[in-house]
Amino acid sequence: MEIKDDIWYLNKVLSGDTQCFTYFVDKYKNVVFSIALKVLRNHEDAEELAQESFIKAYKSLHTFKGTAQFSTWLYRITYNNCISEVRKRKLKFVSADDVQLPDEPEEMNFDGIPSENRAKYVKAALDKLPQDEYTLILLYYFEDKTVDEIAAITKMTDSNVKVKLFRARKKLQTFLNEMLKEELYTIL
Amino acid sequence: MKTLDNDKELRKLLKEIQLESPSKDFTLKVMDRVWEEKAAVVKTGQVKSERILGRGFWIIIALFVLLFLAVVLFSNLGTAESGQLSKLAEGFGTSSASERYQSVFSNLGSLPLSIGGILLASSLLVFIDKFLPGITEKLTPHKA
Repeated sequence: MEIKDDIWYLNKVLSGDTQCFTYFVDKYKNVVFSIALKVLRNHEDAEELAQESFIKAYKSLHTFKGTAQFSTWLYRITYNNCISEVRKRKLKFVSADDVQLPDEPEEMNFDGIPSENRAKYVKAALDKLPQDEYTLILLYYFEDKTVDEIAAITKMTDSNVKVKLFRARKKLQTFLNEMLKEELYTIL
Repeated sequence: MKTLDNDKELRKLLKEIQLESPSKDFTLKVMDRVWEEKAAVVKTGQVKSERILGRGFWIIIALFVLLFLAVVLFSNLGTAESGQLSKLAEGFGTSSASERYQSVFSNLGSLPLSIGGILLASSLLVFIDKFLPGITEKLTPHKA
């Protein structure tokens, strides 16, 4: 049986079956939109930017060499679009360097917190992260991208990605701790 | 005690979260744009194969040629003997025909250089119009 992966659909689109591009939009729209939303902080603008990213990807499909994963290539387009938009609108791209690194976080304790609420807390903590750290965490943990791939997407060096990931992880734990403490105080 | 002290734990938790999603018709909107892009590419291809020279150009060229012939003939008549017009009507004798040929070519030399330039440029345009679309069609890869 034929495996219908990204490459299969890519070849279909390149050979003229444009409708197959729907597969890519459906598969990656949430990640692309989430990155855009974090940067632009507005649903409509983020949707517009996500659309532009997909259109740009479609128009440049013939330049995709297949040396990296399609998603890596698409996220690089999205990330570049975000940076361009930030420059165009003269927005501030909140970098990890702009946020003070909190003290060493305490060990996370999830006891007493129902498992169905844990994702909610993680999401809230994730939303508190600066734009670049949010993107790194999203790509590394959610999309299972390697440090090399993230470096290719963001045009950072490998070591920079590692440092930023480490800081983001620490920050995430601190945010989670703060939220859980607040929750416990409320319960008590 | 459950602790969040390693990557696997964090990865598992992050995988559980529901990412923000765009509007329900997002895919439809993107695909509409994709179809528009595709149509635009096809249209651009058609424009490329269109003739460079339109009908207007050929009308102007025809008028120019008529004007050119008129200038040559009338300037010839002006310098020729008064009875030349009647001679023209007399018939197509070999001597009179060769004389007229000679007079036409001698008059060509007296024409301004700009007319020669216009004729040369027109010839070049006709050449481009005739051969360039065919060449570009061959060179342009037809992508669906």
